[in-house]
Amino acid sequence: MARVQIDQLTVRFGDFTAVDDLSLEIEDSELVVFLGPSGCGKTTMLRCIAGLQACTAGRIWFDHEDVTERTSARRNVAMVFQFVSLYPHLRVAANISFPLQARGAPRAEIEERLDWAARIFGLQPVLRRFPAGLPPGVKQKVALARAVVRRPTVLLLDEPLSAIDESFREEMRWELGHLQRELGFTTVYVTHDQREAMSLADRVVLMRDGRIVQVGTPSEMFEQPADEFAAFFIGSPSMNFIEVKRDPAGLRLGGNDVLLKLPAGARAALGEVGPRNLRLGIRPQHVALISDPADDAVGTFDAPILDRYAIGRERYFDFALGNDTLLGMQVGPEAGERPKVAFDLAHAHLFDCETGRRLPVRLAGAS
Amino acid sequence: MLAIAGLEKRYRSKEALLGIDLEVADDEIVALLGPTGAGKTSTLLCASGLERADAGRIEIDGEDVTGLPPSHRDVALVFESFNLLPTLSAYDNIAFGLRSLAYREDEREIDRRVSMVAGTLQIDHLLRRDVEALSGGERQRVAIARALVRRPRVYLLDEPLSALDLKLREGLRLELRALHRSHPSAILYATHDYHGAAAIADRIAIIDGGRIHQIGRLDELFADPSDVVVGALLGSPSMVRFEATAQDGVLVADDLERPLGRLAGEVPGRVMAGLWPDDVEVSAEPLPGYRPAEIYATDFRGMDQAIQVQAGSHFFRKVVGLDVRFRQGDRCWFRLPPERIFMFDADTGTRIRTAVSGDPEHEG
Amino acid sequence: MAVEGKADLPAMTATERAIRPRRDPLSDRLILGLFLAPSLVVLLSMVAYPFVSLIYYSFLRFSILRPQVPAEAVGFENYAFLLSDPDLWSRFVFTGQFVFLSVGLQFLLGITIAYILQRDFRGRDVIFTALMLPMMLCPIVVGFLWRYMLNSEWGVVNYLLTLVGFAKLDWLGVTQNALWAVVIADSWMWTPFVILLATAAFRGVPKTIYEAADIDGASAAFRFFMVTLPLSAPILFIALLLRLIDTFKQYDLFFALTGGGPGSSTETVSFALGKLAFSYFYTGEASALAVILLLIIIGLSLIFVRYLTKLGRQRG
Repeated sequence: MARVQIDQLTVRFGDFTAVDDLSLEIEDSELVVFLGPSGCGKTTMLRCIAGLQACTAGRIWFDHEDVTERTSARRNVAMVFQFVSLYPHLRVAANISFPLQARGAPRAEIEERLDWAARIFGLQPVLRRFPAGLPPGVKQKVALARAVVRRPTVLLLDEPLSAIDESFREEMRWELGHLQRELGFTTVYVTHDQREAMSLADRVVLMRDGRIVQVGTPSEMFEQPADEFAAFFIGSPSMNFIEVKRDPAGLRLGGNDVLLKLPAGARAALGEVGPRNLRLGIRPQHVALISDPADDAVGTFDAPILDRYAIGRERYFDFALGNDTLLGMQVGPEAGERPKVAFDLAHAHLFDCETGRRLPVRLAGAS
Repeated sequence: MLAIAGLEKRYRSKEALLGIDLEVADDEIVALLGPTGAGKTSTLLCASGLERADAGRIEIDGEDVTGLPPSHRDVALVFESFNLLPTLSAYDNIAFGLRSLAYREDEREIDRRVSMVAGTLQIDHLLRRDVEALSGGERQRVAIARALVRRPRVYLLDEPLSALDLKLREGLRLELRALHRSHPSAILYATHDYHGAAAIADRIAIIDGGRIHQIGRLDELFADPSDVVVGALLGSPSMVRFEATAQDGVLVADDLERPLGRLAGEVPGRVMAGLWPDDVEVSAEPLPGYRPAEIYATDFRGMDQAIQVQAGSHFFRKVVGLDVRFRQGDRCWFRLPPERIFMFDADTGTRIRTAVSGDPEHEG
Repeated sequence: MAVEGKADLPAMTATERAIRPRRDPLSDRLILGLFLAPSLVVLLSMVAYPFVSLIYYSFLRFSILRPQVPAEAVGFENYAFLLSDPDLWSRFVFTGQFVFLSVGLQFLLGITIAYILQRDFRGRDVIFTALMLPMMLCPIVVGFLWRYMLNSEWGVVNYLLTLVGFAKLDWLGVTQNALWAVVIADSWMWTPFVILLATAAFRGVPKTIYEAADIDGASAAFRFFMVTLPLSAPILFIALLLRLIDTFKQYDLFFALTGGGPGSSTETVSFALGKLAFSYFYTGEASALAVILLLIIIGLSLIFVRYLTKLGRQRG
């Protein structure tokens, strides 16, 4: 376990910049998840930390040692790959003890560590088997066991759950989360699945086109996205986005028809914002249907309800605003006859259309 | 309308289908929900005619099509791996069925239909491209378009969204629903994903081990599950299950101190006690009648959190609000309301419909 | 993803399809048969027939040179005669020595060279192609080529030896040397084959496995012996089997280089078979010997195939 410091890391392949001047500090025992769509540079980043990829510029430190020039073997990192890379010609036990044998560890130590690793991951029943016949979930556990068996400085995971069947993925995710906290290895995890990121991370590093978009705890990423990309990428179902125009009473939604009334405090804050085009973002979980709101109630408006349906115990509804169809979730009791759509203004965000950045305007200001 | 009766299918080494009975009405989406290997794909293959069943009948709109090859049944199958023809463009893939001997239309008609379907699925700008150049989501829509354009009597979808990432999947689910709203047809949708099934289906058929265990609307299945498999497959997280023994009219879970409740009748010795996670009560403080436990792992979900709780050798998962931020290793307390307990036979998994009630002495 | 306001599919009901009678499944099988027929005919006439004839002849005593003398059915007499002939056994021993030395040398050199050529360097591809050349020559040509090179008086090899201070060797006149002469010539010709297959085998190891081994801290040597070689085993075993069979059958080199001499000390079993069949024309005996050789080769192959299948099952 160690602190990892990444200092202005840049990786260029010819004209293409995969990672652009990235700096980050990772605490001891922290689980940091690099999240982003494919091609954003997260895997390249991980491979740099592993020593499998040379950096064009920048330095990497483990605690106080500069490891930038070292080969993988000399960094004491451990890696679990997306497409399992167990040694097919060795039994599970030999796979797990390979790193120790490669370093010439004494027999007794190998036995002891093998025993320990097999126990934590529950691999005793398959120790004598070859990887070939094992289900992908078990194979990844073997890969994990092999990774932790020599107490690496940093544990690196490259989309380890992607190749696993959906049905087992959730199980593995829970186990991984539990084990990482138990064992306490500093861990860097790469994924494109925001669910995994939210579930496992101490902090999330959202990347796009080689750059960091936002770093924060899962809560921060969810509640205070830095820009539209972050707001859309995180959270499922995805955030609704609506073009808005300013109005003395609040905001006009979706092509001028619908007026969203805002409290006085919010209107004042809005006044401070310079001349820009704005977009409103609000998660479906913060859009509800209510019956009989007061006529001048803020945050409510009329909109045609297109459909209502339930997924398990959750009730959703589709509604139209201008040309768009948006999603809302019914959390309270069933709304009555002529329900109105209500936005929870405390969780509504305003974004600048040009830059995409979120504006620090609180729409639920006091009346 | 699709009717399957007594469908059996054996492959060389294993029995895949042990007697499937299923009906899909003309304007209905029925989800075939089950784990991998349950027999979902086999059922669809037999229904389409790509595999010959060993026994049973398949009827489409009242006609017995059991002996007919796929080209004569007027069904469309959307495969899990899309199975698009790699050497053709998107347009040609979609038009393929309309150019076959069985369903031939003339080129102008083909063009009209393909354009319409492409418009509905928003792939019109992709029609001339090679399928190799398309992304997963785009290929998905081409595969669906290929089925749609033929307007078959029955649609068979085999995990059509499993290859896509979450964002895309949500979007396509919405589209499938919208499409079905505007053009009702009989759709049989096979999946192992509870969310997918719940999002789309009118009724859900739970399949496992080659048999259908229960069919019904989601709320019906939740209210009265007929088999432990139903509990395992529905809900996210799925049903909480404890192994328990019935002794002297009282239900006792292995490894938990007080009994779970009183039994109203005779019950075989070993049972599986199940509750829906929403019915389990969890608290950060010790409340009367609650049992002690520990937080094994947590899962932040944005609006709420899921927790995995460990009590002795038992584990269960539940979604709770964010008012208390649980951390791994924290202590917590939980209660299992006896009247919400479902019992299943430990060997067969079948539901035992004996009531469990609270004992004032042994609350919860 | 916004859903379009209902773009209409044409409001059609499923059109009626005439239910046509089922296609006769037999026609599929007939077509299958017709496609296979030509290959089958060739196989039967050019392989099966001679093969059966061979076995038939092995139980007769006759010579095709003298067809007028009727063939006598002598049961296993040919086999008994052959298997009790001490000369034949010493030829087996000699053949065994030859195969062991030659295949051994080819593999040692082949794998080493393939390993060295793994890393890319300037001119590697040219060198690789050049190395393949010996394999493409006609065996008999290779034989004569080496015969001249190994000539004790004016051969290139002896010349080079004297340059570095060694005495000239009588390559082809001394049995021990002659054996090595053929081993060298055979290896020269066939090591490229091993290089080729070893290269293919090495390339077949997925890159991520090498990365995993690097991360696990394996040195280059550890990696080669514990990862690369074992994973290359299936292909290398096939190469081994092929070389063993081929070397066993080696005829041209012996013919060109030693003619079986000095005396008959470098006659392999193949060579003896050749003499029996086409010098002495003891057709019956030759057929029997051919069958014996065939059985040996089949036996060898079975062992290998069994091992390969076991490997395959283990490794998925």
